[in-house]
Amino acid sequence: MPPSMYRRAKEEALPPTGQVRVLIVGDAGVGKSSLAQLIVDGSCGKDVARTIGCTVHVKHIQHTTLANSFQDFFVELWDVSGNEWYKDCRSLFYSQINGIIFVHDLSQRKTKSSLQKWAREVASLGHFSAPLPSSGMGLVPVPFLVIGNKADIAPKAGGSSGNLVDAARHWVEKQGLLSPTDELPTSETFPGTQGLRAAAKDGELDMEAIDDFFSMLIRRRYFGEGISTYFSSTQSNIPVNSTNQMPSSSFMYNGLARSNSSSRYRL
Amino acid sequence: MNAGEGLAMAASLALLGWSGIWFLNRKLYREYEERRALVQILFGAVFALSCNLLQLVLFEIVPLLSPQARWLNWKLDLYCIVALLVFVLPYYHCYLVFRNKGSRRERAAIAALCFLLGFLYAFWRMGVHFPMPSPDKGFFTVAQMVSRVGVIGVSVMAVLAGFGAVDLPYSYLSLFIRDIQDSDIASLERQLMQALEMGIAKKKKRILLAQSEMRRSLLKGEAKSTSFFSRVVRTVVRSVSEDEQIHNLEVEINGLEELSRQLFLDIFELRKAKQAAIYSRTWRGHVKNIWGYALSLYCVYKMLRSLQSIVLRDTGSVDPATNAIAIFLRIFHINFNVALWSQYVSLAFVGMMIAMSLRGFLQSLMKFFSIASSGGARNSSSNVLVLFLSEIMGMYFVSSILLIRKSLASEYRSIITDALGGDIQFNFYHRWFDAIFVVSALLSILLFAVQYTSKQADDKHPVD
Repeated sequence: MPPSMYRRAKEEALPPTGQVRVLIVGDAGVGKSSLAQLIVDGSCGKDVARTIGCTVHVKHIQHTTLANSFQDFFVELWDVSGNEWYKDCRSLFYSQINGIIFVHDLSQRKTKSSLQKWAREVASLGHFSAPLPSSGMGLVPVPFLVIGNKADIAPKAGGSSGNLVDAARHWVEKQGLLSPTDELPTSETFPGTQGLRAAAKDGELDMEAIDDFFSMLIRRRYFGEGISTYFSSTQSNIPVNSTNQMPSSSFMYNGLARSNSSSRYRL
Repeated sequence: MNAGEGLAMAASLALLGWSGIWFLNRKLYREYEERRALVQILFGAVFALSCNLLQLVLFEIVPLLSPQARWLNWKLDLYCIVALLVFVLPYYHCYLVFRNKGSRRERAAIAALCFLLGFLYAFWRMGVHFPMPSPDKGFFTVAQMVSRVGVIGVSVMAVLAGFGAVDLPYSYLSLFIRDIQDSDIASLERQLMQALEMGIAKKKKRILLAQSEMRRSLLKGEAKSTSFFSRVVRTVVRSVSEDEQIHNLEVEINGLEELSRQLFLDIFELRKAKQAAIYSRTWRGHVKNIWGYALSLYCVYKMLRSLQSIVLRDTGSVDPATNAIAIFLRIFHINFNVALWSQYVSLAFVGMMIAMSLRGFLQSLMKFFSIASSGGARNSSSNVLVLFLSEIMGMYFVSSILLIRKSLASEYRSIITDALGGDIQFNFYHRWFDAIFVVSALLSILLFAVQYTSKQADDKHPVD
């Protein structure tokens, strides 16, 4: 066990003082349940069954306040089924949302463009806790994260998957006969972020970025941090500082899938 | 036959193959599973060859290509599709199943080969029970294989037709639409949220318990050295109760998750039923209702006809188009050039039948695929599913050729008889179709009756 956790464990344990609710949405089969398992357990099983309805995973977070003390919080990950059939029944789960994680599949380009549709759905049907004012970015009034899963089987940039129709279409676009359609990054809905790359089956995920995201949500909800810190610089490669000082926007950087510090979360 | 015709044939095959692959990718593959290129190509090939067969039937009526070209096309098509259905697809199917389970390439190949040999043997033996062409013309002729493929295909067709004949009126008739109250849905939703919240609370408790146990074991590591025995007892007693608590919590959590899944599915069913009820009150819904009555009458008529043809062992040899024309002439006493018109009427009739049969099959394919692939099946099994569906599709269309022959006027039938190599007992296939159709329709009626009464019971005594 890492020494820091050892030290904290021995100290008096305060009961967790609250929770934040994070919604995980995306098309069916992109790997939301695998990612949720990876975030909570540190590893995910080989064959994850399709989610019916919604599964909630709970993670225990130790949050460092500005006074350098530790407080415990729970993060509830609401993993909603992406199946088209259940569209009308899903709105039940969109209540008291503090943050959203959008997941798409790097090997299927369509899943990225359908994130717009998801953002619209959640924005219109959801109830948010501590929403940003409507001058906030994008469609969604709470902080969000975009994760591209299946980096292990994703083709290199510009390629396409085993889908012959997509491959043919891609070839035609390259010859310039068809203009590339809505497969471009959807920058109006998700401005300023290139998103993270992950491969849930391999255990590849930038846990630092995820933890930063959760801490930011906790600070927004319980410590009343305003929105001004939310919109700081987005494009540059912000170096990841040590966990005691967390820059509030560090979750929005061009994260690389493998960073050495994330290896300690791999079991 | 010249190069132009050959080129036209090849081009039409390529076009059909491409539309098959397009259909697979855009309509069937709804969820984003792993896809293999070879599976898609095989599906496209079977689709192209099947549609080509149907196309050729139409070309008989309206002669588009020269007779030699058509004959060559028939022969070639039949060879290819039979080779695919009997040799390639079973082998690759079995190979993929083994690869998905994780065996190496060579082992999977050998296993698939054994399976293929077994399959061929069973395939051959099947012919004992049905009237087949005599084997003295050779074992692996097209006629032999087509007759066997025909049996399977005709069974599939009859089952689908029987089920569809009952399902369509059932879904159209407003008689069977249930009335759902909003309050029912709302109460189920409340229960679902309660179950979820309880599950969350228990998960939090489990985390805290696990942590306190970890903490305790940490501290215990530094405890003053009391006697070894008492320390052991303390550890065992404490950790057993803690473990037991955690275990109980896990059992409860699993139960709550299962409950919430079930509640969610119930909510989904209720919402679907509610949509159907709302739709049935619109004018479109009323039209659909009337259609439903008409279709159920037609369905009963078809069942009676099938029964009659089985019992009386008579299959008319006049095709419906000629029948229709004869009736038309009799009613209206009109005198015109029958020979000219009969060709076009035939074409329209057969074309419509083919189109409806194709569309009906593709719709059943989509429905079956979406049910099978979302029923908790793993992502890697979708390739196997597609291969299975390609086989069914190929057999379905080959047998539809066998059956469609009866609907053609006699001058068009000869090409089919020749291409298939003669000796095939076409009448048998019609009787077989009728028998399976009646059985399937009766079973479907039973199935729907059970489903309806159980839903009625549920509505009267809602689960609280």
